[in-house]
Amino acid sequence: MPGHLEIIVALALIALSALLSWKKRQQLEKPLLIGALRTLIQILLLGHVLTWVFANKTLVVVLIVSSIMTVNAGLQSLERIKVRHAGLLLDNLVAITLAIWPLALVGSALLHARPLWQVDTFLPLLGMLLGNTLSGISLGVDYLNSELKERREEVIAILALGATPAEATTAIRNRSLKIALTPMLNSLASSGIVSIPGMMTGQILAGGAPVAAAVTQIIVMLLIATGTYAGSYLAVTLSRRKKFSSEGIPCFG
Amino acid sequence: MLRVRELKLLNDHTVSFELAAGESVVIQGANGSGKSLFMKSLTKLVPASYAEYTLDGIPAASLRTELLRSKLLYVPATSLIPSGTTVGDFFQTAFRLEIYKGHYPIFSYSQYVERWGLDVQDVSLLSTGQRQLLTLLRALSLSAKVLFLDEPTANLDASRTLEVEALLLDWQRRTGGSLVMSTHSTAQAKRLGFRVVTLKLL
Repeated sequence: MPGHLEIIVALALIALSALLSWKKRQQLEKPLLIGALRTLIQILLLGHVLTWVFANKTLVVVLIVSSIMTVNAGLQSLERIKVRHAGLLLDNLVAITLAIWPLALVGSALLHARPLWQVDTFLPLLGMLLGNTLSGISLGVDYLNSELKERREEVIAILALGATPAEATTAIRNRSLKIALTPMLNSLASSGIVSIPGMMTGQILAGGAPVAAAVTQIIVMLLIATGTYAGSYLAVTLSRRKKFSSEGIPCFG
Repeated sequence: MLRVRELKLLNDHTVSFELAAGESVVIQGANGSGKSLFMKSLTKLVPASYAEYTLDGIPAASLRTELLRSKLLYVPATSLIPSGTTVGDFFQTAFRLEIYKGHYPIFSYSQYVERWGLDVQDVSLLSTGQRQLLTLLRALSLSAKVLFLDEPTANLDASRTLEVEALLLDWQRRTGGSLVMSTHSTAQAKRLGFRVVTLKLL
């Protein structure tokens, strides 16, 4: 099993990248190093937390850990959204929770977990779903909010004709969802041809049978696709609502 | 017909205003005096507060916002149009809306589209003045009671300006509706002979 030495070697590679970026004045050294450090700390911590969770397999523990993961996902979803409105965090949290928790339970059922909230199935599933949905939500809501600000006059011109807020923003909403889903759609298309999906890689590296790993991966990918669509749809819809008063008066930009 | 008391605009101006059925007015005032804001506030396109706002005696707040906007139609000075929009799309943008279900254009705009050379593949590439003409033609073909025209001839040459004025007066005669238009041209205000309302800078 790899240990401290191996991690240090892997870190050295990032350090080299950062050095090159610094030499060439690309200003990527800071994000590279901070990102590497975050991964190191977060994943190490995760390993320890999971060890503890696996030792205390009660529903309460699963609920607590799941809630912390969900809130973290909500907080992170804000990071990439440039134009933010009041209540955005709550909107994103609602979207993430409604879209992901039921799916993680369905996934556990499909992977024959008993009980459904069994930690070693439910938590990894929840984690993967959260990570992917979160990126869809950030992309979609970021695009929606900036487009509404940028194309304010265009939207107002359609509203002026007597369009409902939904009608006036249909085109922007649709483009936001397209953008939210693009990375996921790309990964659906390229997985297995260009890349070996991360979870499958992990399972194979850990000595699992490739076909069994493939079946699990397919189920997970389809769940991720569903979660990204549902989460982005919900988040974009909630954000769009916040951009109009109850009377339908636009309040963006 | 339209009555608003102590309408507080976003620029902190307070305006009271009354419009009789079929009456038309010209709004004048320096840049930044709130002519556009005034019209956008009455058509609920920007937030504003008021002591009283009624249409035919009915509180404006009790009307569906979309219905109010289709009756009190705000026509912007410059229209931003998404690229790739054809003339057909441009008019359909309005007639496809739920509120115009079963409505047909009350005005045959196509002769003017042709006469003014607006019949192009992508109307977003037209000049500012040409887009303003298209926006105006679309407004005239809908079934509004009041047209709020934001400097409708600001980007037009002298002869088009006269043509547009004639079209507007014709619309007023045909439909019995009201025109509320802002302009910086005193000559235009005189020509039209409407009541003049002046907004003052604070």
